Amino acid sequence: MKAKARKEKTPQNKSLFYEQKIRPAIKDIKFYRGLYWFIIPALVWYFIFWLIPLYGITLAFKDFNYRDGLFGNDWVGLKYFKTFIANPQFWMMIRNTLTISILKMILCFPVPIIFALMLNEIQHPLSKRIMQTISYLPHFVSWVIIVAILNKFISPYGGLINELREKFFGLTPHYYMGDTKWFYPLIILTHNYKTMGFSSILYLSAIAGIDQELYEAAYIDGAGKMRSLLSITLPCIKPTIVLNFILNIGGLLAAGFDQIYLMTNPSNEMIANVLDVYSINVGIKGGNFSLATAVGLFTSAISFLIVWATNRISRRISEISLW
Amino acid sequence: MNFKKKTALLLALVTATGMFSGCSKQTATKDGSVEVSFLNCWQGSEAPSGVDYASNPVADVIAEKTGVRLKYLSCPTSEIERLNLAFSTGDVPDIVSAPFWGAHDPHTQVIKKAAEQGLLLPLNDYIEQYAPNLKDAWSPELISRDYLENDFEPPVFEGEHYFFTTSLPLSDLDRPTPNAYNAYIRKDILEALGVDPASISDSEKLYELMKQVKAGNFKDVNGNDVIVSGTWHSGWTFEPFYNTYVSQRDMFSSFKHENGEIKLYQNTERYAKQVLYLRKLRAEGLLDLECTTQTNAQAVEKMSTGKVAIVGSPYTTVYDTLKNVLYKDHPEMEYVPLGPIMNMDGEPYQNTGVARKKWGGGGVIFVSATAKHPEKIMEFLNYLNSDEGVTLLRYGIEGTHYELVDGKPRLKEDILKSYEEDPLNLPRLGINLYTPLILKTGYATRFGEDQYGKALNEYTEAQKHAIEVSPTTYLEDVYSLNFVATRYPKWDEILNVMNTGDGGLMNKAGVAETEEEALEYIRQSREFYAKNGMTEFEAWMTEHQNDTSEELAALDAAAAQK
Repeated sequence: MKAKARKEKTPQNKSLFYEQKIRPAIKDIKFYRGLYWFIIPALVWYFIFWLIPLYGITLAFKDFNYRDGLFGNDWVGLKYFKTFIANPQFWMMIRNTLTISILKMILCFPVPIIFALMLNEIQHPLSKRIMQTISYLPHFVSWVIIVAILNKFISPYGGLINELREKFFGLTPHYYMGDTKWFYPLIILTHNYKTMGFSSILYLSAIAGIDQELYEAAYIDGAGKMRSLLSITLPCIKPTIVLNFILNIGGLLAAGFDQIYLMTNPSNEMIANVLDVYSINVGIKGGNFSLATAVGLFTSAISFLIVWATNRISRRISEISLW
Repeated sequence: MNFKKKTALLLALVTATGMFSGCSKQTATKDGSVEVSFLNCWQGSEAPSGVDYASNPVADVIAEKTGVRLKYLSCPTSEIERLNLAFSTGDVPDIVSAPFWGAHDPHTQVIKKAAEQGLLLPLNDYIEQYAPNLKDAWSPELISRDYLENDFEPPVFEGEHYFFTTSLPLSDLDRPTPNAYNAYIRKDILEALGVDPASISDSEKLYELMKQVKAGNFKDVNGNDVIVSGTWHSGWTFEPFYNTYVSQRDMFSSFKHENGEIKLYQNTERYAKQVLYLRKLRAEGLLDLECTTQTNAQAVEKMSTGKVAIVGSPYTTVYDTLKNVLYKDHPEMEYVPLGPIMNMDGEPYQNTGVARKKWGGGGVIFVSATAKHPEKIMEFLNYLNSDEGVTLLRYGIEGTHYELVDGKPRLKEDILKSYEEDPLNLPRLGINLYTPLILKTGYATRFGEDQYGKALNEYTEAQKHAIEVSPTTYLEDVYSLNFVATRYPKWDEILNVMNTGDGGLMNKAGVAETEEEALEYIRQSREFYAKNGMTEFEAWMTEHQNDTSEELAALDAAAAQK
């Protein structure tokens, strides 16, 4: 690896890189220059709404005040990072955030893949479309509504689940929302309910792009459904799965504000207090924009490191990577 | 250029112009009056259907008299978020009405910070020149001394004023109707149990009553089991249930007296008793498990069917919510007060039953430093606060909306009738719409009636009874310990710990399965606060609890020197 790195630095290799990569790219751009105009609105959009606001991260190192706004203020170094780390609940928030995020990664990430594979097996077009539409709908409903529906569903006073428990099993009503043990399962369940359908679109399109001849050849060779799935479908959509996994890893410290904020109550507060909630509480509600920016920057930096590491590992193991 | 291209270009220009025209700040209206933006920064302040702040008969008179029309801005999000948005973007509406609870309340901190940093209009000179009707806005007769010294006139303002409060009384006649917070029980259940409501004189007797209710297997209007006790939204309020462990005389501060010492509320014995009491109710199925998380709609749904046997609430909330719903078909299910449930001082006061006589937290009005027409705005506020202005705002136009009876304005019969049919009919005419901008409302003193069409203190028998059971007393002079606490040398650290909290340990104690488990959480919570500097802070507070204003000013001066 070290030898490879040294090799890349030689002038001959630089020239080779230019000849093999850069020159054809420039040639391509020149040839399709008319089409490249179409990318300009997107670039402008990214410049205005993504690049310029990045200046705002300087707030993490300044004492923000209303009078001077974004561009004035005194530099205070790492003061707000120290305040954040010195917070008595710092480690609890990190632990809670990572627990929820890792659980979501393990128990929610594979679900859209499995769902896409199942949808792909539905042969009747109308049934397939109906299933798709139904599964996409929760994505367009806000978390407020989803949590309200959940509350109704599992309420100890006339909720469907408790009615069924009582009628069929003779059990007394249980207050699931007030039971700490049920917090994580409910988080995972509602997350899957809301995101499963819409997230499966990506995998469905990847499946649609698989060459049908591969399946035909496999069929002739006597492969069954399961064999085709394991030997053709999954390997063919592996790059999509890996890339999506790496991108999802970036959100490891963003456990999901809306959902957790709405599902927090006195029983689960100790395991539900996450960085996102803290950031909103101190920043937007407390008016401490510098501290909130420091929290945001801290999580972004950690997330970037995780993505970078995952990307590197992925490149080593599967030769698939973001860059 | 062909026709199609010309048309396309024209349309593009029109669209672009239309898009950018929204960015301009138009301040003149059709009749030549100035448009002044008014942010009513109270969550849920959206104007009801048919209510137009800029155009109504009262607005026309105001525009004619002052040359100002209001452009109303509501606050659909939380007040603190909206204030922070306005100040951090520098886009502060001309006039703002916002919460201001004093000391370390975040709204107060944000508004004071904005004043210090030059975002609010300094009012002294403007009031002197343009708004004499507001000149006693900071009178010690009206505002509590602690608020005046620390929030309205802190040394950092150097004698300047930036905000004033509203809805102040003119005399004792204008004291609001007592809230009568209490535990209310369904009358039919009480009668079925044969319990004398006056015998429920402490929280433990209430607990015994709750157990009887549970054993009684009572039903709601749909034939389902009742929930023994509950509240409205977000646990508002189970406080009457544990009133035996509350001192209303300490309610003005986050810090409480206990055995001669000052303690953070969460660290007091009484707080632990409250938590353990609620835990007991929950564990034994005597308290609505959802009450701390439910929305108001969910609470109203339960209450409307008589599903909650005992509710903690102000009287009016129960009565107003149920009078046309539950009480209509089931008058036997009327909620009646228990007790008085005595507090830990042996007094019959509940929740807000001990109140300040002078203003001590509520709403304030301020004007943006970037307002284009500060003189006009102050003249406008001056007019609204004149006798003529208050009458116009409260009763509308003489002859059209009201007439004089014995020299006092009274709504005309048709207007009163339409108000009784739908209270929103008055704001639709502009009546009682701009009253949040009045410094001293004092309707009872001014007009001899504080509710339209009703004599002063005209209460129903049931309301009278509720007020008797849960009375209110007013304290002449209160100096909140919250204002002493801000002088602690490491106050920022303590505030940070208070804001972050104990990570939910106390809350967890309140829902623990056993009392032992709850006590362990309480111990951990106290340990957490002790570890984070609370013990030293409490010792400092104990030492300085009786400091005079001069001694506190000396502490400020010493801190400023450092």
